[in-house]
Amino acid sequence: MKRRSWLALTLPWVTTIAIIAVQEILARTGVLPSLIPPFTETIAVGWQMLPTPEFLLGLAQVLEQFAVGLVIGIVVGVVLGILLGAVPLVNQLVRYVLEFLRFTPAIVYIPILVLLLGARPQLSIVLAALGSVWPILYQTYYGVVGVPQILKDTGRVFGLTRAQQLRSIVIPTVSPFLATGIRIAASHALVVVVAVQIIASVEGLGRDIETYAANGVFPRMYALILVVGIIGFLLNWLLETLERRQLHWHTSYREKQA
Amino acid sequence: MLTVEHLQKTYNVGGKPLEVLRDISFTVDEGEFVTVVGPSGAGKTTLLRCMAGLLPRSGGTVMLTRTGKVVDAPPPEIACVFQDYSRSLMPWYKVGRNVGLPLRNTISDKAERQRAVDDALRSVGLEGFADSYPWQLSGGMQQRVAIARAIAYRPEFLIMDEPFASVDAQTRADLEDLILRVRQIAGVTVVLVTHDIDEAVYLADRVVVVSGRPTVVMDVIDIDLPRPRSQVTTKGLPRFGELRTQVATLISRASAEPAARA
Amino acid sequence: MTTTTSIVTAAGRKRWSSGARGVAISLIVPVVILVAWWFASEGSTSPFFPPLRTILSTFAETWLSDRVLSDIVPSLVRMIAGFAIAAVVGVVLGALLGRLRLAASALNPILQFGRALPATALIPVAIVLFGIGDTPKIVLIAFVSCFPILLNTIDGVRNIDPVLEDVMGSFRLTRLQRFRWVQLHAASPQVIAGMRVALSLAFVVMVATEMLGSTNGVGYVTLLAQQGFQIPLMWSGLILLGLLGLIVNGLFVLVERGLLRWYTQGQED
Repeated sequence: MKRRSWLALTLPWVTTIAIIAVQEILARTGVLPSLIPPFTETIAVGWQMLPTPEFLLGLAQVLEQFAVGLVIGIVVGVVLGILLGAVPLVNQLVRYVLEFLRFTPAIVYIPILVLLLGARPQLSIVLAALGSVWPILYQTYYGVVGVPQILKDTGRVFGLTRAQQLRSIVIPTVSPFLATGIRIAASHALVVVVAVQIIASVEGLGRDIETYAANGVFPRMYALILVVGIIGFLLNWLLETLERRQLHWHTSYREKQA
Repeated sequence: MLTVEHLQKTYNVGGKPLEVLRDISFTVDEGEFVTVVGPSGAGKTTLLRCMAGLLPRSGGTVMLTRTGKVVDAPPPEIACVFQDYSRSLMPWYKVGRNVGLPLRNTISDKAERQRAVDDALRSVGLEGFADSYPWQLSGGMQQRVAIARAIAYRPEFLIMDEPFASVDAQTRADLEDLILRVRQIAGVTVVLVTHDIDEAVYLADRVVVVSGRPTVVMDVIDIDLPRPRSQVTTKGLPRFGELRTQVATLISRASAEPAARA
Repeated sequence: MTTTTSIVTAAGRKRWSSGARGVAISLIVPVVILVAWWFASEGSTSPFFPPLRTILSTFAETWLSDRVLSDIVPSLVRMIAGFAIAAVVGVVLGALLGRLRLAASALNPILQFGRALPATALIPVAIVLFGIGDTPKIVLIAFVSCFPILLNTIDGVRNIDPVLEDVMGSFRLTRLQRFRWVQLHAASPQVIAGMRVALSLAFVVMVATEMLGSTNGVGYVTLLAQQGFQIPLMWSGLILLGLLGLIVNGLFVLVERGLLRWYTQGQED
């Protein structure tokens, strides 16, 4: 039994290393086109870039635009979600507008916003917020609407104040939905920020990737893409863990919604 | 005939062994209706799954006496009806398709299969429902579909795991009578597990009373009540009350002394 | 206060939120917005916000003519082709890996990395490797859209209800039968959820690739218009993209509802 779980733990990493090794061999022996470098070469280039101020600045810019945009999106999304959930009339009024806008990717707004805001970090932040607000809004809405009537009744019967109801009934019910929403929103925000940096040349790693690509400095381009991938991976892993913790308490709700 | 001999099952829970079945032995004769009843947590479901070949045993044998075949995997002679009917039917198929699905392996002729399905549905009183979806039916009706599916399979043995536990009392009474009728028509041998003592006595030719975990057979009681059984008259007989008390006494003894038997 | 508000709201909700009346109420705000936009922008001299009238006429001129063939169709074809490839590969591979537990867990880190990597970061690579034609777009869309479908399929195929496992076992269904009759259907809600995610991802990547390196397409025309300061054309492109997003998603929801009728109906119990 112990042997089996040891194998289960190490197998993924062994396989990953094996696949990388295959890529390495294929690249070095010329099977892959020269435009695709061996993995170790990308790592080496990346390693050299890590301590440079240009890289660190680009990294900081990506993270900052991402974080600020995401936070704005979360705040707006939660407020609107609660509003829509708690006041059905508001939902009824704006639902068509929201349904139309939610399927428009944030990057569609790049042309007009570039004219208004210029190719500055604000552009990235606004679009990241636009991209991340939708999952948050709808998840919050589902959460608020989904508070079972029986819980609300219980709260009233036991004479809980509005604040107590909010804290012990509404918020715990909404939080797993919100956790899911934040995970989805974060991935959208990162995609948008990188896209805006690439397309509109806003400062950050995205713009650097595009610059290296346009100038044929491919090793650095690959290295930065790897870095961005790692950022996305770590982010997703972190948020998924948080989400699972939230859902752990609410598996009964999960089964209902599933 | 089905023979269970010194059946034993130990689970491995987080590295520690959990003995659920210690020593179960009983036989089921052809055409009999045997019910298995015991306190909660007695591993009755484990027992059934081992008998049906769905769970590997840790010790002992389950044997089809006529052929001498040991049950290690689900044999074609056995069909099962589970407690959770809503999850045992396939919601993406209509009722008719659900009932006929296992028959794709046993009856190759399409027309004959259709006839078998129609017969089965008729015998459980669901004629005309072949084109409905399971979720369109009530709980009791869904369980009847599951029974029809098992019957259409033409098994020798029908193994049922607390099949009427999830329905209301009135529906339960209807289904109990249904299974007695179906058994008569189809001529199957039935092993039914339940926690309901009244049900166990009402349905059975013999009641196997098992203890709590680690489970052993406490006693096998012959039910000498007249057939056909009736919800009102049979349950009103003094003999019913005696048998019922006999079983209940055994069970309360079983629940009261788990530590002593460990 | 809470009590009365809730009761009023619940009853009130019933009255004005349902049926034709509900639709009418929901139309108020969109209509108001359009009308306000029309009149507010009527005499506009602002370079960035031309009159709505101009935008709409440009829309009709541009998109309801030969541009349909030269730009709208290529955009949609690229997106759908990429998505279709991703769907087939994702479902087939996912079904396979869903059964081969060890293989799925072995490949898991790579699959998770592929899903978490921001798709747009790969656009420059695609252009470097394949140029600016259709190929890089379709390849990239297919690659990126594959992951949500693949991962969801693995998940769906794996998590079959244990009661159904018992049913399949007790009736001695063959491997193929188990797959065709049970696993495929049981996994389909998950698979289709993954396809939903993949579809919106495909749309994003389609627009992004057209904005970065393309010779045709709705996204290309829109960005080009902005760079060439043809503002009404730009706006018309924006509106078209919004409409396309809505239509594509709407169609998907229709298909989803048709395929998953048994699921949604069953859940309503």
